[in-house]
Order: sequence, then structure tokens, then C-alpha cells
Amino acid sequence: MSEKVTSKQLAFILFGIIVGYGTMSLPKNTALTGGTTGWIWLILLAIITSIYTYMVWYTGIQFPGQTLVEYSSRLVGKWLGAVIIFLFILYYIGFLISSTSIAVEAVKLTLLSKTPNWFISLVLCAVIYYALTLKLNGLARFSEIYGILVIISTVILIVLMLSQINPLSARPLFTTFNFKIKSMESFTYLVYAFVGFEFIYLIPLSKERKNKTPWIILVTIILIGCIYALLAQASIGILGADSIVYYDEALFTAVRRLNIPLLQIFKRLDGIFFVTFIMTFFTTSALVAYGLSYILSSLFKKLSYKIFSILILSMTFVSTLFLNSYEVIELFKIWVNTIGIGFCYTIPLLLFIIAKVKKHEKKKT
Amino acid sequence: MIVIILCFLPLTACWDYLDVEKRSMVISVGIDDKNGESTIIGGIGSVIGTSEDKGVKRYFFKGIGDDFADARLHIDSSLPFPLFLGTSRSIVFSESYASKSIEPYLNRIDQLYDYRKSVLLTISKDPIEEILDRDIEQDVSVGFLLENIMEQLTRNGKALYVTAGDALNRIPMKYTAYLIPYIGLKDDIIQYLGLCVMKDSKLVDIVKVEDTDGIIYLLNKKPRLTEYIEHPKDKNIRILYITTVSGKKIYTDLKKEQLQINVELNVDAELRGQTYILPISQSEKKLMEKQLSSKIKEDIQSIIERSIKEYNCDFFDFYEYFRIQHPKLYDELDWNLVYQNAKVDVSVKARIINKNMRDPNALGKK
Amino acid sequence: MLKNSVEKEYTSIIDEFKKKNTGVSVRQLKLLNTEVYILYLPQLTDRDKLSECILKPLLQGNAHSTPQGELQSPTVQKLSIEKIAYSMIYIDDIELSEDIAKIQDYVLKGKSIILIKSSEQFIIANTTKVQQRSISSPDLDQTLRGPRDSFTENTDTNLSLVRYRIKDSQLRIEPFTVGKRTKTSVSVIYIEDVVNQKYVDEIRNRIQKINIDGIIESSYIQNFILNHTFDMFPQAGITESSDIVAGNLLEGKVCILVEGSPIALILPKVFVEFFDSNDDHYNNVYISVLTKLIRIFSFFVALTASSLYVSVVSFHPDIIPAQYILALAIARGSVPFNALTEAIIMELVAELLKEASIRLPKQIGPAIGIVGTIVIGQAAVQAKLVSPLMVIVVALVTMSSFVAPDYTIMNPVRIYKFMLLLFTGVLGLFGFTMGMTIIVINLISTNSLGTVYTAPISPLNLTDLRNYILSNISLRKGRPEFLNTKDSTRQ
Repeated sequence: MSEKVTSKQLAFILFGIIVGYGTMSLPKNTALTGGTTGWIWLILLAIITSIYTYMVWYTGIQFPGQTLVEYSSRLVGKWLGAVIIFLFILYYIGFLISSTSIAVEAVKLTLLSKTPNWFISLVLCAVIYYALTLKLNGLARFSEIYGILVIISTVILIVLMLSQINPLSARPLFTTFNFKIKSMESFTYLVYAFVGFEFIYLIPLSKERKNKTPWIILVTIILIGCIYALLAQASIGILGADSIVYYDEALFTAVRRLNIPLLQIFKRLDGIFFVTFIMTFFTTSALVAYGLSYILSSLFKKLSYKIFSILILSMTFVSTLFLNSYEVIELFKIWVNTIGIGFCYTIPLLLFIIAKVKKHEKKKT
Repeated sequence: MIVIILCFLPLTACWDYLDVEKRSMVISVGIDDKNGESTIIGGIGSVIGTSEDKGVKRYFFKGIGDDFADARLHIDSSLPFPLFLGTSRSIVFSESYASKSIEPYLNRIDQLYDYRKSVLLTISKDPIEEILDRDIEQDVSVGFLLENIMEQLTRNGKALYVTAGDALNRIPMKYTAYLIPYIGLKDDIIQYLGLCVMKDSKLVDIVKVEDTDGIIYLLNKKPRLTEYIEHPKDKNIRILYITTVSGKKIYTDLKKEQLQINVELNVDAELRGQTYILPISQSEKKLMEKQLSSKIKEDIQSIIERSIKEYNCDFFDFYEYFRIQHPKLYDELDWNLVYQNAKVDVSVKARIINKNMRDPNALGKK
Repeated sequence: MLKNSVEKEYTSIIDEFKKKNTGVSVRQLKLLNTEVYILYLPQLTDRDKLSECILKPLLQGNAHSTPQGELQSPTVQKLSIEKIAYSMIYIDDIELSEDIAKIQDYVLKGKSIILIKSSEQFIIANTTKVQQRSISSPDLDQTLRGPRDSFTENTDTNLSLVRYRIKDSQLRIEPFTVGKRTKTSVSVIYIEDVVNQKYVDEIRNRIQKINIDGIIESSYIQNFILNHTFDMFPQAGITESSDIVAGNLLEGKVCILVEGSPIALILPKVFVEFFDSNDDHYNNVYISVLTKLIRIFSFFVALTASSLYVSVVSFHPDIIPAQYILALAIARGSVPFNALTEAIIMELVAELLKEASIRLPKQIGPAIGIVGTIVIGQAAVQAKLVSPLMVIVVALVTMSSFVAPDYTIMNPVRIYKFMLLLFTGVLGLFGFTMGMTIIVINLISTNSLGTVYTAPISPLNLTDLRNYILSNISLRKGRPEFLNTKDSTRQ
């Protein structure tokens, strides 16, 4: 059965793939970028990202029912198309490995300090493989269910965190004077937090509800921006803008600081938080792994999707064994994200312009 | 799938698996500094399989070493089960240790993952062994007792609950100043005795509980204090008011290197009791409002001035207000210098609202 | 020539019946010089009807004709099979047939065959009567408000109950015969102008594909209609009461009734609908919302409670407040097993108790309950073999597992909770989340007749979700959108 991916599912896929990767260090980088006013940058980035997402969607909708792999050669010619696909593969390999190894590392650091890395990674990869058997439609439904759960628990978390912040530390929210980027490096980290929207290239879009879908996508990205901003602001309010910069996993540190007597047995929130966090990074990794095996299997038709997904996940598993210190991961992450930013913020623009021009030409003739 | 699941079977109870009863659960930790050696002392609530009496078996551990890691090693070698810090509820510093700086231990708390950062900080007047190793009727352990005392006092607006997280947040700031509750034995009972002024994580002075009203008015989220006013007509009649803050505004300004701090406070006072019943007229009420205002103003003014003159330690977080109100100036400022010469202007508006069931004016009405 | 061969065939069939122990009775009559044979299976035949409506008129017809027949001539009074069929016997449901090969089938189905050796045609008279129990109140779908009539083993009775509730000319009852040896009749019921034809075609296809010697219970059909044999989640609803069937038919679903089974299948059924009881539709909105949420919650309790217990006790005690951890430690103080073993053992014991009490006769049923409560509830705790909290958890799990209106949805839970326990036992909260992910993936990959199993949550459809949660008929303007029915409005 090949059903269409509904526009709501598209939104949840976006949510699933974007949220997860950069949330942990988000508050820290927000504080580094702009102190207590850093949230403005998050909203701005969300707006820029949503424009980019629209471009990606627009390019995709010109070729309904097809993915980038199929239409790239028609859009930009054989060679350039191949280059783009190659970059895409390279970027996704890095994306997958880094997000999985960060996840493994985070689980190890915070939940299971004595469990060996390889086992966590093995279980993770095995379950991701199982998720890949769902294919795109199943994964869309999967991210829908997890998306709903994640949104609910995040909203609860945000409300609880906001109820516990020190109102002095989270202010001032607006200053004209602070409105500049304090640290470019951390700003790029903020950009990474929004990477992932290019997944739409891999979804065959349908022309149905053509007018409504861009709005849904737009709202989703802005919503992600708002959630990010609130999480960052709440963490800054709990930890203080000066001390938050010392914590890599600032969000988690902030959650562990909470102690809400009103909630009785639930007054410590890290359980809920951790389950949510695992869900988000799982969805991200599963979607990226799908994307990768999809591209590869449609490029090399000799081997099936199944074999590629096994290959990709074994590769991920092996690489998480080597990438087992936080510093190496960080380096790797920077490398990957540099490609990522290059990829996400130049190629969509290029493709968008070409698509627009082509459409224009078509109209003329 | 089934095969994978079956593979799990032999792996169960490996690695991180450790049942609760196999952990030595730390409830309170005491930090002392004797003869230059760091000492960690603590109370553990733990369960030993063979104990006949149901309930948590309490015992006491002590580790002495050159530094904390050393002391911890000392402790570990005397415990039946691995130490579990996730349950710790309060940390007690000795006065002598606190006066040298508690920062090393705070940083240790920060770095030990299973330590909860929401743990209560206190400084003890008496030797830590004496405080922690007490059999108390009220609670399982001193750790819980301290936590509960401070929690109920803070909730009722009479004290401040300071966690390790609060202190840790301030360490990276330019001006580290905060307060820690002071506890100790009084009449052989563990009690809350006042607040310790910490500057750069060093104990500067202790504000006695009688003098903390001004601090509580400003720093507690919902202060609820009792004030006595004499009846304007009869000085023998004392009227008890419960005061709550209904509005608080703090303005800071810097003019010609002179810091000006304005504190505006609206206080609601509820009549709670009179030693002898005597009607209160409107004019008398006005008079008493004025008295109350000036009394509270006096409390606040004196403690702020003390913090400026005596300690030069801004534990009121005025710099936070300054940062919010003048973010540009704040970045170029040496707060210690400015704060030294700060001028404080406190204005208090007290309003008496009678929520008492009794009507003392029943006969005096006209 | 032809007549001779027919006669021979008849003779051989009759001889075969007589010779072999088939249980078929052959009654031979001689009427007006013609030999009439009546073949029937006494066990399945209404013998009163046979003698009253077939034998009596035949013999009376013979008696009447003899005295009057002064002009007796074989040519005039010749008895033909048409005459018997159209002017003599009283049976309402008769059929004339020439297909001699099928005689055996008809007889085995309980029909009576009347034949004259000289005629190619024979009469099939419906005299079937099966020993059956009368309509009783349902055991499976106990309800407070709903009607009390439940299906029996007899298809006609069941169909009559459905017909009685839906007097619509569009109601279709499509008959099938499944089973080479049992020849069980299976009826597929739907409302023509409502149902999504896709489902009917799919069911027709799948039923026609069944090639088995016998169907004993509707679950046989259910298993054949499943997508994969190893699918965990039930894909068809089961019910005993006709009002549920009628309600579902109106929603646009298909119902399958199997002869000899009092349990009807309802297809397609999605995950959330397993928590929908017919009482929800009869009750006040608030109550039905509350009970429905409780049911869904109880599903998760049954699934996760014991593994959450293990994850808290053995991996992350610090996610609950210190006081509670101490209380937990006190409770577990002298238990010799570790928490995981304790949980697995207790869950197994609870399953054992459940299993024991289902099969027991009603008279000794309570005894098991007493043994269970005393031995496990009290003695085990007093002997310090298990902690009291574990007993509470297991009791909670067991109670929760009985909450769902359709018990089949709890069957996967019984398996999955052990899987979750193992995952949690190795990897704590991380393992727990991974286990839950596996379950969710499994849930997503399931479909019921091609309908997405997770609808209406995913694909998210707020109208359906609202209708489902509120389950009040006055608020429900249309049929569930995920069914894609032909006629989507109800009001």
C-alpha cells in the first residue's frame, strides 16, 4: 500500500527530524549568542528556516510524486544532480553517525554509566533497523505518534520549568544594546539545531491540499522555534545566564535542578524528560537512516532497500564504537554540520531558483 | 526479533543494575575541616538484609582525607554497599569550613552526577558530628529534618531555602554573594538560627534570626511575618499583625558613580490578635499604618545598609536588577566598588486590612 | 436408456447409504405403485416436521385416491415428482434439483431428499433442525445499559437478531461455505450503500482463499483473515451481542458470522476501538469519556507498571523523591530476589492464577481466588519472598488487564510486558523506551484489512478523535473518516 503522506504528517516528520539533535546544548548556545535575549535569534532562525523549508517544498511540488533522487537530473542536469545527490549522501552519513553517537554518549553519561557503549549502540541500531522496515508511510505515522507525545511532554516540561525559574535571571528579554551576536561559534550551533528540513526532498509530495500545506509547514517550524526559545529561556531562568554556559547539556542540567514539591512523587522530572529526549533522537536517527537507505537503494537498484538499511546501520554501529569520546564527537559534529549548513542553506536556494526559472520558462512557451 | 529478545536474558542484571536496597543512601552530608584535613561526615539511611526491625537502619559514616576524593575513598572502604548520593537532602557545612570558602565542595557537587543540585545548604553552629548523629524523634534523619524545617519556614514566609543549585548559579557571576541558612542546637534542639552571609563563597557574617526580617521581606517569594504595634491609646496593648508583601519594586540607577537603589514595598497587614481588646478608630488605624511602615522600613533599611557598609556584599541581588535595567552600564561596571557607596532609599506603604473574625470596633462605631 | 441410468444411480446411492454406517435413514413408501424414497439424517432432521408435512400428506394422498379411484389406471394416476412437490407436501422450503451427485451433501446438511427412481429430478426439503440453546445474555460483552440478547451457535438465529435490528433493504448477507469436511456456512454482513466496497472485496477474497478441512469456530476465520500469522495485535473485533454488530454495521463495517460460533467478527477494527464499549454510546458523555480514558490508561498500566517498577528500583532510584526511595528500600529490605526476578516471578504467578481461574468450573473458581490472595497477597509478603509494593504492582497490572471491553487487545500486552521487563532489566529507562518503541513500531506496521491500525491518532484526524473520545451519538455527525465509507453522514 502506498498511501500519501498527509500534510499533517509532513509537519510531524519535520518536527521529528529537526528536534532532537541540538536541543541538549541549545540553551547554552543561546546564552552564549545573546545572553537572555538570545531567544530572539532562535525565532529569527526559525523564520529563515521556514522560508527555506518552503523553498524545498516548492521545488518538490514541481515534481509531484517524485523525490530529489528522481528529479534532480531533470532539474539541474545529470552532472550537477549527481553532485548534489553525492553531497546529500555524504551529509546524511555524517548526520546519522553523529546523531547516533551523540545519543549513545548522552545515554551513557546520564543514564547508564557502566553499560558498555557497544551494547547501547547495538540496541539502538537494532531498533532503528526495525523502524526502517516501516518505510516512509510507516515512519510518517511513527513520527506522528512520537511527535504528539513529545510535544505534550515538552509543553508540560516547559510549563513546569517556567514555574520554577528565577524571574531575575531570565531577564531582560529585550534590549537594543544586546542585539548582536556575541559568539559566532555558538550561533552556528544554533543554526544546527534547525537543520533537517531538507528531508522533504525525499518525500514524494502530492498536489492535494497544495494551498494549505506550506502554511502547516511554516507553522511547524515557527512552533519549533518557539519551543526552542521557551526551553532556552526556561533553562537560563533556572541556571542563570552566567552559569549556564559551563554546561554542555544545559537543558538536562536545568531539568535536574528542578524539585517541585507540589507534584509529590513526580517532583523530579528527569524521568519524563529522558524518555522524551530518547524519543526525539530516535525519531531523528530513524528518519535520517531511512533517507540514506532510500537514496542509496534508488540509486543502486541491484541491492534492495532492506540490504542497504542493514549496511547503513552496521556502519553506524561500527562508527559509534570508534567515536566514543565526547571531544571526538564534537569535532565530528562540527565537520558534519559544516557540510550540513553548506548543504541546507545553499542547495535549496539554488534548486529553488532553478525550479522557479524553469516554471517561468514553461509559462512563456 | 524473538532471538534478539532472548539474547537479553543472560544480560539482565549486568552493568548498571543495582537494586535500591543494595545502595547506601546518603541523606545528609556534613563537611568539616579539622586540622587542615577535609572531612566528609554523613548520615546514611540504608537497609541491611538481616535487620529484624523493619525500617531504615541509620548509620553514620566519616571520611577524613587531604581532599574530598581522599575522604570519599576512606568512606567507601567502610561501607557495605556503594554510596548513592541521589537521596541526599541537606548538606551541612561547619562554620570553620565555611569561613574558608565552600566553593570546592560546591564544585564537587556540580561534578558528581548523582548529586541532586536541589539539595539544601546549611551552615552549622555546632560541631557536625553532634548535629548529624542525633537520634531525633521527629524524623528519620537529620537530613530530612533540616529539609523539612527549612521548607516549611520558607513556605510560610519566614526563612530562605537555599539549594546547591542557587549557590552554583552565582559562582560564575562577577559578584558572588548569597545567603545560607544557619542552623544549630538551641536548648538541645536543632533549630534555624539565622542566615549566613556568603561573599565569594566565604562566610562573612551571620545575621541573627531577629534581624532577618528585612531580608525576608525582599528575598522570600511570599513573606509572611509577624509585627507587633502598640495601641496608640494604651501602650500596654500590643497588637499583632501578620504582614504580607503585595507589591515590590526595585529601581537602580547610577548617576555620577553614585549608585542609587530605590526599594518600594507595599505591605498588607492583617490583624491577628490583641492582648487586650480596645476599639481601633480610623485615625488610629492610620497612625498604626504609619508606625508599621516606618518599622518595616527601618528593618529593611538597616539590613541593606549593613550589607553595604559592613560586608560590601550584595546578597539582595540588586545587581540583577541593575543588569536588567541598565544592561549596557552593567557590563562595564565593577559592582563591588559601586555598591560600597550605594545610597539606599526604602519606602514602605503598609495597609492594615482586617481579616480577623472578630470586630474590635463593635462598640466604638458611630 | 437415460431413465435406466438414473435409476441405477439412485439405487447405488441408496445402497451405499444403507451399507455404510453413514447414519442416513432411508424411508421407502409405495404410493400408487410408485416407490418413493425419503432420505434424511435423523440427527439433524426435525422428525415431527418430516412425518407431519411429508409422510402424512403423501400417505393420505395415497389413501384418498384409492377409494375414489374407480377408474384406476396407471396412466391417469401416475405419481410424478412435480406432483409431490407442488400439490402434496406441506414443507415451505423445497427445491427441485437434478444434480444427483449433491444428494449426499444435502442429506449431510440435514435436508430431506424425496425421490422417485423414475424421475431425474428430486426434491430437497428443508427439514433441518439443530439442537441449540436458546438466546441467553452475553458472557463476553457484559453491559449495564445495552440489550441482553447474545448470539447463539445457530446462524439463522444470529441473522434474525441482526435483521431485527436493521430493517434496511440495503443490508446484505453474503453466504459462503468454508471447510471441505465441515461445510460450515459463513455469512458476511454489511450495508451495501454504506460500506467501503474495498473491505467486502478483501474479505470475499480472503474467505474464498481458505482451503481447510474444517472450521470449528469464528476464530478460524479470524486467523485466516489476519495479515500475518505472527501479528501480535488483534485485527478483528469479536462480539457476542447483536447491538454491537448493528452499531458497527451502521458505522460502515463488515461483520462475519460463522455457523456454530456465537461470536461474530467485526472488521476492520483499529487499535483505539478496542477500548470502546457499547455502554459508552448509551451513557452520559462525561462518564463515557472518563471510563474510556481509564480503559486506555489501564492498557498502559498493564503494559508498563512492572517494568517501570524495575527501572526505578534497580536503575534510577533518583528519579523519585528521596522519601519514596527510602520507603521502597524498606519494602525491599529482606527480599532474596533482585527486583527483576521478583517482577518476572510475580507476573508469571499472576498469569498462572488468571489461567487457572478461567478454566475452572464455577463451583471451585472462588477457591483459586482465595488461594491466590492468601498465598500471594499475604503469605509471600510475610515470608519476605516478595515486597508488598510488588504485590500491589502485580495486582494493579492484573486488574488493569481486565478492563478492556474486548479482551483480545490485552493478549499482546501479556506477551509484551515480559519483553519490556527484559529490556528494562538490561538497560533501565533507555531499554524501557526502546521496548516501547518496538511496540509502537509493531502497532504501526499492523493493519486491519488495509486500514491503518493507529487511526485516528495517526494519520491524525481530529474529527474522528473527538467523536471517538466523546462517543456520544448525538455529536457524531458522520462515520469514521478512516473507513472511507460510501455514505459518510449519519445525521
